[in-house]
Amino acid sequence: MSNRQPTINPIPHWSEKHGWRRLGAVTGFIALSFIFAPILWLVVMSVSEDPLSGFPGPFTLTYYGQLLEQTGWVDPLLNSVAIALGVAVVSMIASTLIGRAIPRIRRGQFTLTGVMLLPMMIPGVVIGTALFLYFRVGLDMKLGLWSLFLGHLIWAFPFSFLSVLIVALRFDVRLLDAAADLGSGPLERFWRVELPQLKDGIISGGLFAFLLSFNEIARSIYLRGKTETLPIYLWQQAASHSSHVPLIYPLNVLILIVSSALVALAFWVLFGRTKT
Amino acid sequence: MFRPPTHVAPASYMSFVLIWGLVALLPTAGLLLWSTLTMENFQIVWEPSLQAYRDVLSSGRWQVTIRTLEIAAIVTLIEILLAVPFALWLAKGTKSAGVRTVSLALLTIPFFLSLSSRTIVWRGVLGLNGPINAALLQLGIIQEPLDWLLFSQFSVILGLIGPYFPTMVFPLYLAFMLIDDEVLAASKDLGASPAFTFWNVIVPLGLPGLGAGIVFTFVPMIGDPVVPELLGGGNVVVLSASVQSLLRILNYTVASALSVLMLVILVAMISLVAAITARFAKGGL
Amino acid sequence: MKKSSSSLLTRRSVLRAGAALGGAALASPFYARNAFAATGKVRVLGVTTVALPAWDGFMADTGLEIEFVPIESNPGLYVQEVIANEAGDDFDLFIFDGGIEDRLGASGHFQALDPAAMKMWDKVSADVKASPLLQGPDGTQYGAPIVFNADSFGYWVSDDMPAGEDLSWGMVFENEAMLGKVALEDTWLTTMPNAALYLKGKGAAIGDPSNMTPEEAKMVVDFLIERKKAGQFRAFWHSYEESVDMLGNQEAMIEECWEPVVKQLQREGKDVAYANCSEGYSKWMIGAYLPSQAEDERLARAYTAIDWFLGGDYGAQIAVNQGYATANPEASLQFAADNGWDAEQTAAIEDNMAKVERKMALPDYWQNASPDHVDVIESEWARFKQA
Repeated sequence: MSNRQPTINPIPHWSEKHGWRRLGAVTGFIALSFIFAPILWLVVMSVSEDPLSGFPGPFTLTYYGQLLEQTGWVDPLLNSVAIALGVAVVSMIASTLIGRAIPRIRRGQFTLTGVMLLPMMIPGVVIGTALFLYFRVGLDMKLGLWSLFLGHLIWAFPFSFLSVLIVALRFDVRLLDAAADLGSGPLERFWRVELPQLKDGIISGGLFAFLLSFNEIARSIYLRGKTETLPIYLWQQAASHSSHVPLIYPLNVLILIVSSALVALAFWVLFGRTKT
Repeated sequence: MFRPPTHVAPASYMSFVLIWGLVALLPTAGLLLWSTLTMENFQIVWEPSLQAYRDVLSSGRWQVTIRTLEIAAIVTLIEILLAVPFALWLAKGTKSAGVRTVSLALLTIPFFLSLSSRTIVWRGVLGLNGPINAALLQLGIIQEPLDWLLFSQFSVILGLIGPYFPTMVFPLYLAFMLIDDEVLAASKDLGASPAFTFWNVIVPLGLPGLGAGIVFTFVPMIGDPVVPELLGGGNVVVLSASVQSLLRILNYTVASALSVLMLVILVAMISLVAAITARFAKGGL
Repeated sequence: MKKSSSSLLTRRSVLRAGAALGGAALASPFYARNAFAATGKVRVLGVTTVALPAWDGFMADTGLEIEFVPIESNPGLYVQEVIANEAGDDFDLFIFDGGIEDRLGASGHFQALDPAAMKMWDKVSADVKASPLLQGPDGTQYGAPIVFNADSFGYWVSDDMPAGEDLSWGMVFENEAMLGKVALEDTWLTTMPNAALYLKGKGAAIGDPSNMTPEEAKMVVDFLIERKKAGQFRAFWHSYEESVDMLGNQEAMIEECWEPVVKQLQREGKDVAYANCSEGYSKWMIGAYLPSQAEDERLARAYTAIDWFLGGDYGAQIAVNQGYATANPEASLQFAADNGWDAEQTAAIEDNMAKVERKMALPDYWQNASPDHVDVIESEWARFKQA
């Protein structure tokens, strides 16, 4: 039974039409279940006695206890967070500088965009090697935290740049003329007219950059020097000849809990409240 | 000196362009150089040669570029079909800030968890003795377990759908969000049907988002080593695996040649997408 | 035309000035920088295979702290770390898959071992010490044996394949009863020589399986492609976890794999066995190597560490946990007895000794990460994977 009601306007606002909404909700639900079914499984296995067996239970918290005793993962985690934060901040600033400029320069828009996006089109292991050869062999520099940062920036920046560009392309520069007519200076125009319009793109870009850096591994292997990040740590544990997987499960669950709380908070502040 | 208010000082962005050139573009250009040299016994031979490209052809390695592009294209198409309605609903369909926040948060959280731990779970599900085969056997639909469920192109594509969904949704959502409600209302007031509004207002205005979404999804998938390795079981050889195998023996030249080949194809494809996006975006307005 | 050949990773001193930008201060995180100057600490760069879950025994016996930085088992990566990253500046000891000393010893990045500097050296059997994976082509002793084994394949025990009997590699490569039920390791390094071993056993003209000529490599790959087309292989594994998973879940009934895989599945109560092979085994060894930069105090600490690895505590733990062999099994037994280990654990060490004796006696090959025609072999492997 449909609950269609007689309506005065024969053509409803498209967003009020139920078919569209239902379709959107359904495709979203399908895709999200693809993402979260494995994650829920991970949670269940983290409290199972034999996580590798493929069957849940009997349930135990042993591995959480062991995880807290072994603290090898703490330093890599701190490194990962520090690098990701740095990459996010630098990406946000740089993408704003370039993203706002591209729609307004007369020549070379296409070339400049392409040049900024080029490194993201090269497979991670290759760009990792290319950077290694360049910095280590070519410039004789000792690799470490800074090269990880740089490698991640080269990976993450194009994404945050595109996020800003989407928004900047839709920014009506006549607003700046109007603001100037009303007597505001360049800084004020940027701060009060331009930035608020670009804000969503910049924040999404920064968030993207953070997440891409946090999970990066292909480039990190070649650029780490002696520094370990969390993905490198986890991957090394899984590669060793004895099973450390029981500890990887609870560690992932802890990260899941903390990141969920942080992300929910951040999104509520950024997107949830402002636009209703 | 007078500057129009819309002027951007070149120094503000050219300084970063310069840095970018030094740290990102020069190393990339280095690939081109490597690909025209040869290796002998772990040593580089400084003599221009097309040997690396010949090796790419003779070992059948060029096929991995085609297979990789094919898989990435299929998954990207699936993501578009799933993400466009969802992003539209998220941006314009739901009025609840709570639903929107939770949805976006749910799309973000998976990035924090290592892809390999999330992916390996599928193996239990799709395996010969997994629940899907067990159910099909129980129901009498099949007599023998299906071996193409796992370690096949099918399982690789299935495994890629989840991880690369958010990268398609985010830019689309951002683009749809920017469409003014009043534009939609005007379209309605002028008597346009929802389908007409979708194709003639929303799609053109959302195209930059779609273009970015395709780039965000398609390009990283080309280099993804995790999902094809874990779910392809060595039967689905993609670019990253082939390159990794070369780097293990320090064969930089063939690895570079293979990468340059892929890079050329990608640049051509992305230029095409960008050109189409630009044309339609202008035409639609 | 003249060919000019120069080392791939030669440092360019011309550009040295650039190094000021990325000095050591930036190379490690600010809260971990003290590691470099620490005394009483031995810094080891080693493959994960040799790592212990805890190093309490090491600290108690040697009075030294240990900083174990793990590295993937990947020859390309070692060479990069040692030559280009000058890991010898940061580490007192390298523990890598043997064979690498042919290259890094000759290039002056490893220094030769001084037998007199180690107490346990004389207790290690001469056969083990003389492995080509520890000595350079000229016989220089670069490496000390840390962990070694002879690899074959794991399988689910059945009437056709009982545990403990000698089986042929044909079970893996040419087995009509097991079409689509065999898993291989995804590397030319083990899979191609193993196939070569089988073909050689059948009378094919193959010299050294671990150093094949281009023609031999092509023959082996043609055979593998034929078997692939026949549907012999279910999948290829890349990591330890994967191989446990594949055999354990019966995704594959036979799997070319490492011994701890079978140990782990047996502990879970699964009826699997590790094959005794009639044609021989894939032998490997992980050695400890001294970076040429290690001198004085650093060198003394490195020798202290090697001595401990050659001793009973380490050997006993490795034997029980992983089933791998170590240099000095008698010391392991002694350690188990002194520390009141139970009969089961002691038996594991004894089984291990018997196994090593039997397996090492067979004509077989030592895994070789840098055969003369490595590029051709890798390229042939790519052809197999594409087929």
